[in-house]
Amino acid sequence: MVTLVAAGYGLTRHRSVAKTHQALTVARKSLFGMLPTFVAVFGLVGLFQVFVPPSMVERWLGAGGGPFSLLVGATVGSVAAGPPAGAFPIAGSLIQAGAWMPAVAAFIVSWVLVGVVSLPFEGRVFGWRYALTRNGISFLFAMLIGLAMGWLV
Amino acid sequence: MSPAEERKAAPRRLGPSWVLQALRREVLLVAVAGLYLWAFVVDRDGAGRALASGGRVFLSVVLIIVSVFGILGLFQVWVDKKKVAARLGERAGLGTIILGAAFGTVLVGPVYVIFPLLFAIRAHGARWAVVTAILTAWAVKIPMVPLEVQFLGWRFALARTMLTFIGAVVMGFLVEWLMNVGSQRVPPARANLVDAAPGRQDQPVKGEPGATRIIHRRLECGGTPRAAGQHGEQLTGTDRFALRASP
Repeated sequence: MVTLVAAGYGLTRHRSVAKTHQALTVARKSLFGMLPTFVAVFGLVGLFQVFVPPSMVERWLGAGGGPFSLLVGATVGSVAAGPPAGAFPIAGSLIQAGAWMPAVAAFIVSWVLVGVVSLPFEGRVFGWRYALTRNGISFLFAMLIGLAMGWLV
Repeated sequence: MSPAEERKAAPRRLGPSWVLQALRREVLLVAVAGLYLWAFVVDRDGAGRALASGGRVFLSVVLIIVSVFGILGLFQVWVDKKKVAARLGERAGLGTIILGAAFGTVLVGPVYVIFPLLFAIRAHGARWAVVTAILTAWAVKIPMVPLEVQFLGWRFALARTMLTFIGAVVMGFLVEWLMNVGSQRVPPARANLVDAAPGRQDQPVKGEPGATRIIHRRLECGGTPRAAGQHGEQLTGTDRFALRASP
């Protein structure tokens, strides 16, 4: 993986040295900018694995819950704010603890698509009607995509 | 960023309340630290195990995280956002919406950069369907896929990426239809623009071309677009006005 990316940098460096340096700078800056969040997310994953019993995950997000689990997954994803990269480790530990895959997929999709926290900003930029419509539809789609994932995977 | 620009940006960070600002920016970290503190009080052993297991997971993916950000940097620099944005603003059919969704998948950046960028695309005349498709496909996060594969497996990552992409196009039409149902309201784009510059633009702007004009002017105010664009932040002007639009 690292080799592949390094090769990508080598190739683009061939075309423009300045732009490659820029890409490196962007990469470094965003990496260090996100570092505190990553530390937090992996800290959370650790806490989760030790303190949250699988039976609890089973009850809220288990396959037995059906539509309820789907709804819980999408709701938790909407309220949770954070970079998308943070959703994957958490989703991974949810699945390990026995969560229903479509519910976890709904969780990831709504984590990135629906932003309760960024809603005021979206409303300010695009107008409230658009912000509410898009977030509402996204919430429904998160659950639909989750269900479809259940068939596909 | 060049050293000169870095010096210019530095004083903003060193305000008197920078500690507070940092705390607010890293709410998640503070919350998790609080949880750990509580865990140490309640169950010292468990907290230690949690820390160790979190650290193990982190170490197992640290190389992937570094590469993800490497890809991110490449995309940021090599995808010409301005060119694509101009193309997306044209009168659009299904093709443009699909192109928008494709553009969204390689788009990287935080909300406060992406929203103003999309707003500028909208002001260039793009349909709601295109804006929505980009915004939805933005959730695909191609550079993040390696991380997803690591935690959730190939099949999961592939299926989610494909479904989100299809969902982006369908949602584009759906949201646009919902936006057009009912009365013909003032397009929010225009309303916000007039709010943004009350002193500069007294007369109501008629139609999208006017809105585009203001955006261009704003871009000029916000520094040379070319210089800013090199860092993938070409919309600092728009960004600023979008923030100013709120009282």
